[in-house]
Amino acid sequence: MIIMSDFKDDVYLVVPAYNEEKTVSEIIEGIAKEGYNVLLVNDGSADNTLELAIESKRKYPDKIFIVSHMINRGLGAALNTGMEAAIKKDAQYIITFDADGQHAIEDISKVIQPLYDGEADAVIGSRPFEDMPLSKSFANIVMNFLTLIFYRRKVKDSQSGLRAFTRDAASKINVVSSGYGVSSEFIKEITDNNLRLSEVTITTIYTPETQNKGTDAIVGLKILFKMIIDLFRF
Amino acid sequence: MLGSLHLYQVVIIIVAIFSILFIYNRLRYKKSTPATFVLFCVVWVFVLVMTFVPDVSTLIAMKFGMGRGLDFISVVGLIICFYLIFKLYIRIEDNEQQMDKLIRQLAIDNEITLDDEDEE
Repeated sequence: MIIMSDFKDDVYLVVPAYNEEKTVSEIIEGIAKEGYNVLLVNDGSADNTLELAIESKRKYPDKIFIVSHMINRGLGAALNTGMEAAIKKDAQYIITFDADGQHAIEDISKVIQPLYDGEADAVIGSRPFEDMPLSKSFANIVMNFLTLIFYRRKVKDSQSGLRAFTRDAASKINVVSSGYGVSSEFIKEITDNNLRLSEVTITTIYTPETQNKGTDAIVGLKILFKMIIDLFRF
Repeated sequence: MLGSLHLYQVVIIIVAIFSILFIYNRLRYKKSTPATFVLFCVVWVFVLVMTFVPDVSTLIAMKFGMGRGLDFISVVGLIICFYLIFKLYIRIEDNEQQMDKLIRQLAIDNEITLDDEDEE
């Protein structure tokens, strides 16, 4: 599994960040050090996320790119912005990567491989649920079930933040959810556009920061409500 | 004349007059459309008719198979409230999506460069 450095130039990692000052520098510099391009989307952070990202950009001016929402618009909007900006930069492979430090940088090559080999148009990095705290794994099992019921697609981890798309696949995907509901909507779009999906097992790093974010029972209920409303809209 | 009115009828008249004046004022300054003005007037005239001739509600209720006029008014009120909440939810959602588009476009068009920072 060797990825040539000129191939890495075609890879853009979209990193949505909202109040991630504790982890943002380490994450984006770590990715840039590996030779990948980083597209950081500051989602109206109230802390020093943007300033720290600019400091990182000074170290890797050709690898780190920053766009910034004036106000917080949610995970979905930030991912949308990042993917659109990456396409404009001529990215051939687009990867979404959480800024809270829960993903391992070594997993990037794992999720690109099926795209590079031409086996898939979209890849989801599945987090093993047995590694998660009980409340998180329960919420994620429920979300997988709801994704199956509403969007007719069985996946191992519907709420994973590590996803990879080819340029064509990313252009076809049109998500409208602005919050956490976007993760399930990605699955819907992959299914509706008949994209070939591959699932790759990834490692998840659980820290106090990653524990505080992501899918818990309340977020799950909000996503369920949104899914029901969307049924009436389309 | 006023002496023969019940207190709730006086309250409803005052609320109706203020509501119609309020929406008329919005219409005058082009903050509301004529259609909204007409809709508001129809609703308040309906409320006034129900207040002064309560038997009308009983007649309509009978037509819909309900015994009492008050039941009819409660059911219609609930349906209107649910409809308005749903409509408001959809409207807010649409506005949110428009705002998303705007904020996203501004972000993409104004990518942060090191030159911007140096100028500051």
